[in-house]
Amino acid sequence: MARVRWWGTGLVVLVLLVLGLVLPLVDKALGSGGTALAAGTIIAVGTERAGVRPVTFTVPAAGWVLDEARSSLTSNAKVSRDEVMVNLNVVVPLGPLDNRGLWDGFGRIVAMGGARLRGGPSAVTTRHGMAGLTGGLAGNGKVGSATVFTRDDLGAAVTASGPPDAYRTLAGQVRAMVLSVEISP
Amino acid sequence: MTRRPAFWLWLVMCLLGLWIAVRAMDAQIGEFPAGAVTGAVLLAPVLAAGVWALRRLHPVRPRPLGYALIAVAWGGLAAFGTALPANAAFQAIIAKTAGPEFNAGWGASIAAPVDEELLKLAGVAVLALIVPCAVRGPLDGWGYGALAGFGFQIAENFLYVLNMIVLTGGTQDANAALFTFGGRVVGGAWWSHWAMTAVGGAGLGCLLGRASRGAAALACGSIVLAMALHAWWDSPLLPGAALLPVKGMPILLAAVAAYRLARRHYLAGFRRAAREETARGVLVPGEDRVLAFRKWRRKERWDVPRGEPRRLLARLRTAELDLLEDGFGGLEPDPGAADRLRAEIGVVRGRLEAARADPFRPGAAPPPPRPDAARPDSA
Repeated sequence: MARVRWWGTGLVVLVLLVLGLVLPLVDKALGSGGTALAAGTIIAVGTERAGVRPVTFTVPAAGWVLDEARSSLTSNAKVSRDEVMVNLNVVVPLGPLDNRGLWDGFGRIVAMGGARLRGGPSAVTTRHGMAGLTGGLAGNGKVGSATVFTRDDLGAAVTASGPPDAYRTLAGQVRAMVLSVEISP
Repeated sequence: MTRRPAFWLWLVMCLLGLWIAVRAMDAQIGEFPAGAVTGAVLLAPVLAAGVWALRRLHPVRPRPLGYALIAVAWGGLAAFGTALPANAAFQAIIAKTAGPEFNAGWGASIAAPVDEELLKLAGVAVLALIVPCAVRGPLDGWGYGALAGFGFQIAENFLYVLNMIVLTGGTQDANAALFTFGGRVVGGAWWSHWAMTAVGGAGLGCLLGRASRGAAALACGSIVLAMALHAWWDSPLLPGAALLPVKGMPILLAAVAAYRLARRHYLAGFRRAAREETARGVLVPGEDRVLAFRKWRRKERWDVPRGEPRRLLARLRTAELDLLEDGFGGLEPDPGAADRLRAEIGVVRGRLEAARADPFRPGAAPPPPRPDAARPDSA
């Protein structure tokens, strides 16, 4: 009788260890899981509509890596290079949404990670003619930028950040990536 | 209870799960307090109502509140907290091995069923290890599985409130909570975690009640079925809110079918035990039918004077129900329990009759119950 108390409990502990500890260790052992992206690669994000993900952006140059583990593609995609990370999140508003409203709301999301949007945003227009707002970003020893776009019933929020030197080096490519964002109607 | 290692495992895992969940959500709660409070206020009564309903989903007597809370706390804290890193790691493994596109479509329907069903069902096993008499068969497994699943469901719904706020770009607080409540509680609670884990719990209850190869096969089969139902729900098949009832109905039907089978199994054992104890002279003829009805047990109390006689009657009925359920099995069957309960029933019945016969007490002895009026399983 007393034995089942111990081996039964041990069995439950084993299940908990496999799920709570072994899985994360296996994930860690598999490494960062990045996919090298060729220049011109188009990354599509968002819930599929007629088989197509509605928000896209283009990788401007070789050397960028898609973080497979942290990119769900239904809601976000994260690419990185030399410690600079670009993260595009799809926004699904519940009501009418404009760039200013999304900028204000997005500032609160950025604050969750310990960073802050710096100063007022300035207008930006993508290569496809979509208007948005962009501004600086700082926090946790990193600098970068945040940009938001809205169109009909969808939005996109892009953050790019990294150590100051690395970010300054890649700022042109980051800007090209941000300006390539397109939201399908 | 505290002398059992499973109790300390339960306690440690609940605290650990709470810590993991708080760490995962505290930044969102701090930044979006209106949405978080709205979500909590909406979900708290649902939690209370669900626990109340699932406790009472038993043909003879409600499940003890303490045991129900052990299961709910496991689901809402231990299983939920552990599932956060487990799901993240599992989905990351899928993304790294099968690619992010495959993970976006099928990752959740592969990782979540395995992680979450095993974690929730561990709550049924932990309860059986803490209180062996709590899980004696498929009906107990179904009930405590449903309760553990329901605890998980409520915690997950709260997380979804926060996720919805982020998905709306931080532009909605309370509206995101209301939208999540409408979608996941009003529209989706009927075929969610409680139902999946109830199906798995019924099979696990068979094994915990009476270990055999057949019971082990049934337990494995039901756990696989629970995972399959979970995978079906999370899969990208039948997308769109309009089709959610079509997608959820098989899960609800499986839970209802599992309950009907478990209930039938329980009542068959209950009636068999009652016949044996009546033949043995422990139960008075016809008493078994009173025992099977909550309503009759409640009504017969009205005819017994308050105070000692009513307390004795309640004690008698509890001892009789314990005796009838004693033969159902459990992880640590006590071979002497039946004889102790029979002796207790004899003593309590004698004291009750003496108390009823006391001329100085107000009220009269209750009339004998009318057992022919209904079937026990209609309670």
